[in-house]
Amino acid sequence: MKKAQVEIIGLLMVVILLVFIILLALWFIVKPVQQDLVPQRQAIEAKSILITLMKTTYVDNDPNSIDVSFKEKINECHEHDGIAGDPLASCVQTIQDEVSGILNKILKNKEYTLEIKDESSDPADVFMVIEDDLIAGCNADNGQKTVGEVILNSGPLIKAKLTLCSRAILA
Amino acid sequence: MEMIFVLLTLVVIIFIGMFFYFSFSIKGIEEKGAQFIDIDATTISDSIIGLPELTCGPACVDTMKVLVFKPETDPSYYKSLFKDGKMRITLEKVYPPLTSSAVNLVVCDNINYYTGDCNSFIVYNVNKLPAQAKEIVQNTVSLYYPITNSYGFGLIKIEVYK
Repeated sequence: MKKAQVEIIGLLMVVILLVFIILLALWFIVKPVQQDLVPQRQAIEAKSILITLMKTTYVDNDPNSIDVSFKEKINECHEHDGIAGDPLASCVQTIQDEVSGILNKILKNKEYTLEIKDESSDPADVFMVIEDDLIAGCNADNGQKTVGEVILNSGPLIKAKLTLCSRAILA
Repeated sequence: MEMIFVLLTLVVIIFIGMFFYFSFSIKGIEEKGAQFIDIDATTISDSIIGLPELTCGPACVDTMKVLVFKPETDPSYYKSLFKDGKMRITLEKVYPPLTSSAVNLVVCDNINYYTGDCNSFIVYNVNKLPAQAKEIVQNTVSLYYPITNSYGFGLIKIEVYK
């Protein structure tokens, strides 16, 4: 191989290497900024959804019932949870149906889990869970989970936690 | 001869590098543009919810006030809020659902509002352009119904026409 050819190939390799280093540096500069914004936005979105949801008036099919908010309804339901023969014993299922109906409409292309927990008793004891089946597959490789949280009752401490996944579900 | 060949190769490589760099830059600028539209629309949405003409508290809009809100009649007053005006802002009631069998959105007017047979409010719509690509930003909002003293779960949607 001639000396000139070696010089050309060497130069070529150096330039290609430089271009790759510049591209890699650009990638690292641009990427983290975009990723940081997603969880922030999502956490705000989750909290905003929960606040609005808890303020919403629960529509009961019973004409004699008094209008209450979802927050009051959940607290009332929690008080009667597990009491045998209580007419409100089935209220968990009714609230779950209503809430999942709302969440499915507004989070059409997003995975979510809504957990309502009584934190003053066993923390592992979840009072109500409304879950999109696919969120279990959400991990650091394909999306980020963020949590929005609101306190529903400070007596027996009840918290609502809405977890959203940043990856979009294909319709 | 070798010198010319080296220079030619260098120029080609620099052009390839520039092509990649500008592809990156253009993509970045487009993403930034979309982010700005998003931030702008979110600011407008928060400003609308906070307008004394419409608000009923934090993240809450009084639906009866929306019914009589006509910003198009005084464009100079709302110019700072809606800027160049290429947008459509609507409020959609998600819950409670309509009592009638209507599946699509029914825009509220002075008649169907009182019967409860509507689930959408047009807050602002002065887009006079033909249908174009648009960015949609939506936020949740409480919709207050003073007649029944109840709150609905709503969405404020801002469609920005590019």
